[in-house]
Amino acid sequence: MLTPAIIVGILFIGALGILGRKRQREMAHWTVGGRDLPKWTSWFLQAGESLTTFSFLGLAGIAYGGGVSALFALVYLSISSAMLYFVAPRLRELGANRGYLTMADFFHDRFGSKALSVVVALVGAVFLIPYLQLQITGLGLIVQLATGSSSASGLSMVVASALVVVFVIWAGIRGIARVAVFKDFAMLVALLVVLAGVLAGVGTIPDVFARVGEAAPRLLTVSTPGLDTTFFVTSAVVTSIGAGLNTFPHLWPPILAAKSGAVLRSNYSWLPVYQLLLVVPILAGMAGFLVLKPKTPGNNVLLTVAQQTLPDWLVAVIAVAGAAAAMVPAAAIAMGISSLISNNVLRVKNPALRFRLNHAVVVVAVGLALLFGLAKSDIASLLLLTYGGLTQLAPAVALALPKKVGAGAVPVLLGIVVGTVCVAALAFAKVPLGGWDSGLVSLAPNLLVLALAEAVRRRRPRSEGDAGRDLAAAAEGVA
Amino acid sequence: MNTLAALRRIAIPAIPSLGMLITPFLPFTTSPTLWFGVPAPVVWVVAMIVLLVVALRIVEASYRRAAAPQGEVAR
Repeated sequence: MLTPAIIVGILFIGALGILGRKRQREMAHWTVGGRDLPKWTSWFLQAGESLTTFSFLGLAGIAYGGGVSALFALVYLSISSAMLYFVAPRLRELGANRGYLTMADFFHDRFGSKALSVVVALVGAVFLIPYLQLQITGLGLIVQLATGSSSASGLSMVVASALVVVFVIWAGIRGIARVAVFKDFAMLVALLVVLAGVLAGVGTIPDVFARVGEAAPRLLTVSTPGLDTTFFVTSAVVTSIGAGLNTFPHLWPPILAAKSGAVLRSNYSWLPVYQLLLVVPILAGMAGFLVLKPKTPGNNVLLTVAQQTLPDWLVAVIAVAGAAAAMVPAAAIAMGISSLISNNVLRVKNPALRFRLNHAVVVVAVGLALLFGLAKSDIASLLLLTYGGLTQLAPAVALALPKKVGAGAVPVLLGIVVGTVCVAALAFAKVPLGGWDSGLVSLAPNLLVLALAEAVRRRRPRSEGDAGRDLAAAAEGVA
Repeated sequence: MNTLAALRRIAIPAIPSLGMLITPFLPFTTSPTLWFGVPAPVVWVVAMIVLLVVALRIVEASYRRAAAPQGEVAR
């Protein structure tokens, strides 16, 4: 009975994104919705990124093995909200004045370099594919854990992917916003249900922690091997920098679409309260230590605890909320990839053709991620590059925020290339870093190269031409 | 708008943010400690998040008092 109920739930989520929404027929409205999204619509889009499949699968798993070290997720989400409180209104202001649709448009405009914007668009699109696959695979895992059926998992992945394609193409950001409203309420309900299950099936909150403290005291400290002080601080710092400077391309449309900077400021000031919900998966993960078999895979912890403490129909509610938590980010990521490729890489002049190509890219991106997911291809290792790699864009974003851009396109491009190559080398060569995050380590050569190249650029004799045009030309040469 | 935000406005939420980042260095996070039946690091981080929200609301109030134009990001 669970499988049909969950599939119906997924169909309902897809229908929400389409029904009552006009088909979007123009790129700007599709991507940023006329830049007039009101406070609550913006809230749900921004909150959508706080609670994802990671909240259902990854975080409880980290708490299961590493106890309170999992708090690093709350730390980086809160700090990045505080940073975005200051940064997002500026991005929105620039976007509204200069007509940005994507992150790459920001780079093109601020640094005056088409080449830089193409590199940023390609890097962003490539790095987002594994992240898209993670959402689809996560959805399949949630359904498999809830139903115990691998065929139900595959079916749910196919159905959810098809629905994401349809509602993203049909309604654009407004469709995503509609589904995000449902998803956030569903997540709230699901996490409260999980909490109730722990309280009813394992014990009161003080009882759970007291028993964990007796059985495995290390779980009450931030010093578990592999999830120790270095991991906590470097992971929190690098993710705060990356998220706080909005280096994930799919998070740009929600910011550019907001009605005003004041709306963004207000939402980001309250968002950390909402993120406190993540304490529930951490509690569930630590409760799992008491009731689950040793060596239970981390990703299975939360739903297995739910299955052991709740009736089937409540497990179905949690699974549908989990599906929504995958479909909303998946939709935003698909939109992020397609807008980067169609707007900044293909650069088709004809608006109608560009919009059709954009839709085709949505289908290709989701299709690729689904195929990788169904084939169980191990592109998950590329995720190591997604976070660390995209964080290499942070110095450039920071330098481009003030009225006067702080560096030229070539130094910024060199810094990004060196930082990204460094992240890839560290990740794939499995260089031991003593717990340091490879993205944070790679920021050092990134900044060094950027500073050196910028120093050289400033020493070069310059004509009286426009600096932006000079830089753009230089960047074209490098590319 | 030459500056993104005035330093004092950034400094207010920076305090609880730093409070969160130093969590692993605090003595009650390196030995098993319960406060009110809850692990001390959880209580500490939750308290810092509440303080962060208060800090951001203080900054927001300063924006409103200054009646900064919509979308402007401060001096």
